[in-house]
Amino acid sequence: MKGLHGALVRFRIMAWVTGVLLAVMSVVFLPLKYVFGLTDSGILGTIYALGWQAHGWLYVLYVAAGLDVSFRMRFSVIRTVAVLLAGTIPFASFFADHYVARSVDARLAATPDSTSS
Amino acid sequence: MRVHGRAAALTVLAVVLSVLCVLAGLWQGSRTRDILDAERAALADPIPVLEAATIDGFPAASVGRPVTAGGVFASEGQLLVAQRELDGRAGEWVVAPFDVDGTTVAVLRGWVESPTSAALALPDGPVDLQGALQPFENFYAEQVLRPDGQLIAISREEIERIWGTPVLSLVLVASAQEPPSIPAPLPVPLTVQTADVPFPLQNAAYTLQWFVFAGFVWVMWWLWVIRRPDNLEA
Repeated sequence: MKGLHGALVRFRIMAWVTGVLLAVMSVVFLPLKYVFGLTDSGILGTIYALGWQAHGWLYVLYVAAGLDVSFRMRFSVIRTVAVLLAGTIPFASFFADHYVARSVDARLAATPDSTSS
Repeated sequence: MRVHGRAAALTVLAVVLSVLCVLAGLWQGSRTRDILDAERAALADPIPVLEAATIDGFPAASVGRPVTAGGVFASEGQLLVAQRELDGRAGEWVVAPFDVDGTTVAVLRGWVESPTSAALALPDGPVDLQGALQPFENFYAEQVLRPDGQLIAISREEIERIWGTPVLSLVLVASAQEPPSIPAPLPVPLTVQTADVPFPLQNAAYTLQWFVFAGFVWVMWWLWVIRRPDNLEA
């Protein structure tokens, strides 16, 4: 189960990084831009643009990590797609992280000395 | 049969989803081009000179900016800049003080073949100029003025000293004048081009990312349909 544990760690890192960035962008920067009139110029404007670009690429890594751990866990297609889409909804990736981690822990606890995957 | 039906359904789903991803990527690609075109068009559209630059500061973004200026040439103070060629012909540049709503703008009217050219005559009344902004030539700290009164470079410091007034922070290189002077100095080409508009990196990245997601659809199809997990959950 070494592979599964590594896959879970990779997914948890990506879920937290992607999730925290998306939360900050949605809660802080979207209101700044559309309520308080943040412009594209200046440091905050640059951070705004960089933040969304970073989220785009981080989400690509999140999907890769999510596919990996979901396949190792033998998740159904629907469950897997739900995990992957959670990275696009603010705060949803934290729930996905919690759900996946709990599933993996339960699996690892049930088969302590398995060497598959 | 049940397994076959699942594989067929997932394959159809993969085709649909990957096509949607590619279409979304192409849409972001066309948005990238549209944004670039719109920003370039906005940059090519002339704005009033006093909106593009002021006397104080150095508006780097306005270098190369097409501008319009309505005003009057001062009757005194026109200067020649020595040894400037145009299309391989030796001559001088003509720089004159131009009053736009009380602000003095150094206007590079153009090129003349000789210091006695008839094109040096200034228009009498108000004129409307079109042109682009360029930086001053502050290359030489000293001896910018030759003994014969011609400048070696369009030095802001020297020009302000001669004219006795602060001038706009950028030179207006005229390309057209209305009503025109006949004959007129020939317009000179711009030496510093406009910086290009910022590239819409975000939309370009989204284009690539949608194509990556189309690939992920088929990775998932391969994992879940071809390397089918034996003990799938419901």
